[in-house]
Amino acid sequence: MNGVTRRRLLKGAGATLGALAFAKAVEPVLDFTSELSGDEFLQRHYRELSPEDMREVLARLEAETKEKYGAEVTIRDIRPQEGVQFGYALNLSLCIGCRRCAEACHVENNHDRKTHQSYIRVLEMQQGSIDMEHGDATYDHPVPQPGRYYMPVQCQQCDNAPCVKVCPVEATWKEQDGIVVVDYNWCIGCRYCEAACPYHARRFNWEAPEISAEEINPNQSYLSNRIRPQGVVEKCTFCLHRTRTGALPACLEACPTGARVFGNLLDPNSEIRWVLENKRVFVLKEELGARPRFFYFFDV
Amino acid sequence: MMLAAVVLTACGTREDHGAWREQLFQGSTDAADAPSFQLDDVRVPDRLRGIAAAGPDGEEIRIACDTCHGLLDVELSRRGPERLQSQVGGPHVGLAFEHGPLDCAHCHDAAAPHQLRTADARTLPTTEAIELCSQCHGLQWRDFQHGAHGGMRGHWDRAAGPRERNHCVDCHDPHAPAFQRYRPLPPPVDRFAPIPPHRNGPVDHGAPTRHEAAPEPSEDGS
Amino acid sequence: MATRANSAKQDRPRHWVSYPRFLWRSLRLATDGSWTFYAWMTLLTAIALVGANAWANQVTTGMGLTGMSDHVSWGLYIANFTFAVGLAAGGVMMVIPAYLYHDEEMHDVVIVGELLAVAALVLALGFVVADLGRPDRFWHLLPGIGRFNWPLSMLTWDVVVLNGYLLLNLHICGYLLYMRFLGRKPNPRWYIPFVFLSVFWAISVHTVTAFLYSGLGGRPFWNSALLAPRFLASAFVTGPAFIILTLQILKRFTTFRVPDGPIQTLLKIMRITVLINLFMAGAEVFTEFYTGSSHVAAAKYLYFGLHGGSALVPWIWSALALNLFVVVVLYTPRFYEKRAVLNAALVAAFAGVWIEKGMGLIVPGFVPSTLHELVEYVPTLTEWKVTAGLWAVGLMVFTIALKVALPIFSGEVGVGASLTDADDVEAEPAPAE
Repeated sequence: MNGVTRRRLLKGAGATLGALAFAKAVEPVLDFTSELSGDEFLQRHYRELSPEDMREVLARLEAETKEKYGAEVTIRDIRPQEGVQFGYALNLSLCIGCRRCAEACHVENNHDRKTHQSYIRVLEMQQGSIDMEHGDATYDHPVPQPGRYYMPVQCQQCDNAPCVKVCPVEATWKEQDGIVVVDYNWCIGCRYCEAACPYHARRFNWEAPEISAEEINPNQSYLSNRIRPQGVVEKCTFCLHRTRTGALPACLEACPTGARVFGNLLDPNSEIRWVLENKRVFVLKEELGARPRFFYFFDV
Repeated sequence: MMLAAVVLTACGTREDHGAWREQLFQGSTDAADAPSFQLDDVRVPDRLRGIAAAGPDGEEIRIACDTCHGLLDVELSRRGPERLQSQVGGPHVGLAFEHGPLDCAHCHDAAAPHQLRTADARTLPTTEAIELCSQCHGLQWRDFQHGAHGGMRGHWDRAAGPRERNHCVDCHDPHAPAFQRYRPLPPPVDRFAPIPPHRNGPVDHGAPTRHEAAPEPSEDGS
Repeated sequence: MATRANSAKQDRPRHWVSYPRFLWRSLRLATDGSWTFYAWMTLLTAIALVGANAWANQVTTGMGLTGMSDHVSWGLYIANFTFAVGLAAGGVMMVIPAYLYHDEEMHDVVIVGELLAVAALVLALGFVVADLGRPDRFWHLLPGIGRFNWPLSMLTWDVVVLNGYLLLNLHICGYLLYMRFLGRKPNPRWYIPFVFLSVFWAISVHTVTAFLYSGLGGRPFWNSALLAPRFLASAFVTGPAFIILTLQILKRFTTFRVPDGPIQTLLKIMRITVLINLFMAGAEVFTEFYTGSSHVAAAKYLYFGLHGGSALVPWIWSALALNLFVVVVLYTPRFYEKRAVLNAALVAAFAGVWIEKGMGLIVPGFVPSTLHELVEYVPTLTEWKVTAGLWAVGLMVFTIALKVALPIFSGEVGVGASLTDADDVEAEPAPAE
């Protein structure tokens, strides 16, 4: 009997010790949860938010940006326009690989400053080959180089998007105007979309983005360039906070050669329609059947 | 389970986002007309309004063409560019010329070189240079009209706001029009750097000829 | 064992009394044991705590603590997840002979395979959670409250089949144990249909996991119809290998009766599956290299290195060497008759497939990237800690499950057994020699 009580005592002590050790081991999580508000934790999916909910969410996000980054920003929820389908085309004969587009994206979309993140990767390609095997995104010499051409790659806003298909929680979807968006407050960070995307268009927030208050672009929207939380996936949104109000995307404005053409695919008089109907356009990796809305072409 | 996966994923309620493709090639847009092109959108760069020079205190000023050419009577014969260095004086000294087999008088009015002269003998002010350029560079002019050459800022939707287009001479020096080399902005800082592929041929490290970015939207407008 | 069935003298058992008792006894069984047991559990707890701490840091600081990147966006966690699902599916290799071929001896130990499935599923789900950037949003995955992208996303299929398989195995094990506990003969109606279902389910668990990768057109290394068959073949190598090792440990440390028949049956299965697995790997290698299209880049990188990057080369060649060693041992009586050599081969089979499915399959799917950039992946200390911690948790689940199940299953504990002093009757592992 005595042996039994002693054993129970030991078991009890062991269990208590174990529980204490466990509490100590997972203590760092408290730092994470203390920054997480209950409203954020319980927030519904973007498509389930009423206009009233959305107002509250936007106000909360603006306040959080003020608190964490010290910047006054305006975050809007901009919806697609009727009768608009966005498309993009890029002239490989004109592109000189200067990375002005990648830089403009970096600034416009409030990317992490430390990693110099951007949704655009410019590949220096080998003349005579369209195989990206010979491409190099890390070049750092005067451009254009002889025997090279340059191919910027960003989200192709596919009509049959593999990333949308694989998301287990519908945190990413294709909007009415053709832009594939992510609800940064719904994404669980499994990165299946990153594995599925054939164009390396998605980026993961490995850490919380770092950006100083004066560098923040205050013109923000919920689905595009607001500062992303840690641990979620993000992507190019054709700058929807600009384009849905009729403005051109930042990467196009930055292009010094006019290699980029953007517009409404449903407008027969648009520049993009002229390019699609009069240039020999092609899409990357067409055989995969993702049906991109981002086209490439060469001049004669 | 496998069968169910195949059937269910195939029948999944996927929306069709590709309907716009059916509208292509309906003969609605013709290569000839460019309904959205407006010449007013094109900015007029300062260099078309005069020549840069050093002011009295060393600051850069711009001297309008008429300042000199209105007083001086400069006669342009069919002089070739090789004689430019020695014969062109004043502020035009050192003018680099690399524009194919052309002579000065192919573009400039021989009697009044601060004005342009088209192939059909019309004179144009320098601010209307586009018309002159487009005589020869038809393909570029066509693409430019359709927004597929030259760059722009502003709005894709003309109803929502204005647009500013680059002028030919924003990117091409009319006397040496080859597009200049750039120093690229820095490459991405990846968490783990990619191993670059093997490179065929040497890298030309010659100095970039242009450092500044595309022209900023100017306040004085166009 | 059937002698316990005579306790049907209690005409209708009152489940509301006996079931809580069953649970209470199980809890007692799980926490009482020899010093060896305590030492083993303490060791596992310590490793699990190190893992928990590393995971807590990863959640707080961000996934930046891992070696993954936008180029190689899955690594050690998903590799282990894939392997654990295979282990779970492999457990079924005892169920098939036991129930489909009425192997009576296998019946006596089939519970080990089912419990392995349960533990391996806990492990697999643990690795999924460890890989999430936002584990706090796990509820978004719950059908009903979250938004479950079923049937389009293969990951939702995986969630369904994994949890389904877990419930299925919990039901079968729980029902059989409870009946044994009561000393009654299990009613075939309540478990035989589920056993047959679990056979198909085991196959589908690993098939769906393979579809997770093979359905991605942008990753040519995975985009192969052979992926699911390969997954199954390798699962049926690791499952039996792990079970044979477990049975030997049980034989040595417990009073649980382990007949030799099942071990021989499992070895026969392994002899076939290890060859099929190697054959299919060879078939893929041939197709890749003979064709020589640009899709060969990942295989080239894996086997020989590319552009000077060769982080995976030592891994894959050791996996191949381990697998070949297994083949040699399993087909040479001189070797497999020696317990030590056989056991070394079983460990080699386990390790070989672990590498092949992890560093040899998940990582090269990302190298080169979809833009053909070559970024290498090396797991960080955080990832190793979390991985070790999760394996410790998995082994804890397996140990406790066996600790509870075996005495009940063999009839040593139950209402039919003499229950004079509840604390001393149960089968305790004999102290190590």
